[in-house]
Amino acid sequence: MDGLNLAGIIHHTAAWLQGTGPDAEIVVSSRVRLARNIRGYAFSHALTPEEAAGLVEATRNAVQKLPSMKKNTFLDLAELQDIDRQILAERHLVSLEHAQEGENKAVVISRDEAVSIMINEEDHLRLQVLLSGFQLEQAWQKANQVDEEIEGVLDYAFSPRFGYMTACPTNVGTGMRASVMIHLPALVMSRQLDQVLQAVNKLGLAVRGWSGEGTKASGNLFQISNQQTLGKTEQDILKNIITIVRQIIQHERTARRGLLKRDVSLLKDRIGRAFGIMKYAHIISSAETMNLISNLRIGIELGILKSIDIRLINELFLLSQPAHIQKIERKELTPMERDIKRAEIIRKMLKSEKLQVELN
Amino acid sequence: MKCEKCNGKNATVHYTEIINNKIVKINLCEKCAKKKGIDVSSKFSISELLRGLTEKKETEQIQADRICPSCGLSYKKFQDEGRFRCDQCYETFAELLDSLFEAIHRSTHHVGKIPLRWSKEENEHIDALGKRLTKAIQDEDFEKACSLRDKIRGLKK
Repeated sequence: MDGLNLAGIIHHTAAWLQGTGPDAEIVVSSRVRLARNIRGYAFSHALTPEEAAGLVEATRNAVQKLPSMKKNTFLDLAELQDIDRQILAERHLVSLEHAQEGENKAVVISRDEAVSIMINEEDHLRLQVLLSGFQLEQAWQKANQVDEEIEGVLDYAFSPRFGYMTACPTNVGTGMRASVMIHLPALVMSRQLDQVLQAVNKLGLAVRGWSGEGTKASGNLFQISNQQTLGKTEQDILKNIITIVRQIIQHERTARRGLLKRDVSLLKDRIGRAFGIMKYAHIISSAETMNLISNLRIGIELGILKSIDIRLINELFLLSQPAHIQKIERKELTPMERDIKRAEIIRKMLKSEKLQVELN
Repeated sequence: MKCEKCNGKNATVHYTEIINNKIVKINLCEKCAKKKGIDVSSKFSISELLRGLTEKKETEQIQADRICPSCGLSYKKFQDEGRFRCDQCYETFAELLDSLFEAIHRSTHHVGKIPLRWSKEENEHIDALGKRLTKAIQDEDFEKACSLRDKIRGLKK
């Protein structure tokens, strides 16, 4: 099997969760998404089923042959089971909307899960590059490269005045949404987060929970993205986000140093308790897991928790999502059964881990 | 629950008022609520937002009745749905979009990436034709507008 194997996908750590890349101790992942439509077709929601099938076929053939999409996997979402569509959403390979039941939706995914191209989403193509750490510029370069390859074989709906024309007026122009997923526990603990977020909002960026639109923040993870897509170049949009995120990183680092100075016992206590609960609990909800993972993460990032690898934490993070648990168990579970199974998976993963909480 | 005012219809509007420093909960039917001057239509949705963002001048009112020749979407319908149905909608509603884009993006024109196949000369040529098209529509010279539109379309292929 050359491409991505859906049955085995849960045993891999996605590229964006490798825990590598610059500033990875604060910025978990970076994403650039481009919205594109093909000339000659009405926008996705206005297509007849026959036209939609035609669009999927035409774009599939083009996209699968792109030089930068070697060894890709094409998935017709209608052919997948509910659980597999949810897995794709939990791994951020398709949007929550795209994972809903429906005909003529597809996705093409690169082998390392860094590039995914959704077909017949709100726009005909939603091209996404998702990388680990603070690598927005690299994500853009990769997205731009794939975009140029697509442009060589498909005719985009473009106008010099409006740019890339999209179904929703909020995406017109560059069609680009750039975002980072950022872990800000120290700003939350020191109650400075609201200030930071207000400032970010004023500068034209949006802040959301980590799963994207409409979701609440959990586990101290936030997603920061641009709102404006028209009237600015891609470079300016990226520069704006990168500059602001750099400042947030600085604030978070300062807050972390402050915590280390003033509240070391409090920090160690939190980390120790998080580890204890995760290692020995028998029922654990998704929300609780997110918060405990946040505590372990800050322990690792501050160098207090020496023994655990960040990749294990990232794996825990994915495997404790509802669809992933059910995939492991190979059947549908009630929320209670899920909480029991989640605790079991976490206990197993932490079985040989020992807690070494120390400073320096 | 019956309306507290007319005691007849179902009360669908519930609100709280402070009278003489006391909190009073009041339940009214839609008709009585309207009489009392309460805005019952304050549904918050993207289409309402769009409508608010695209408050039109009187001259624009006529253009708001325009229908996209390619997909049949009217501007009114666009405001309801919050989405365009095809790329031609952009050209059809061009003059109406400035205030909308200004509100969303604080800008009305694309300055970012251009597909490689769009050479510079072509763009300028199409830009010029586009301006003539806008003018023709303003002058209500629709025959001319149609031929210009076709010309632009031809160039874009």
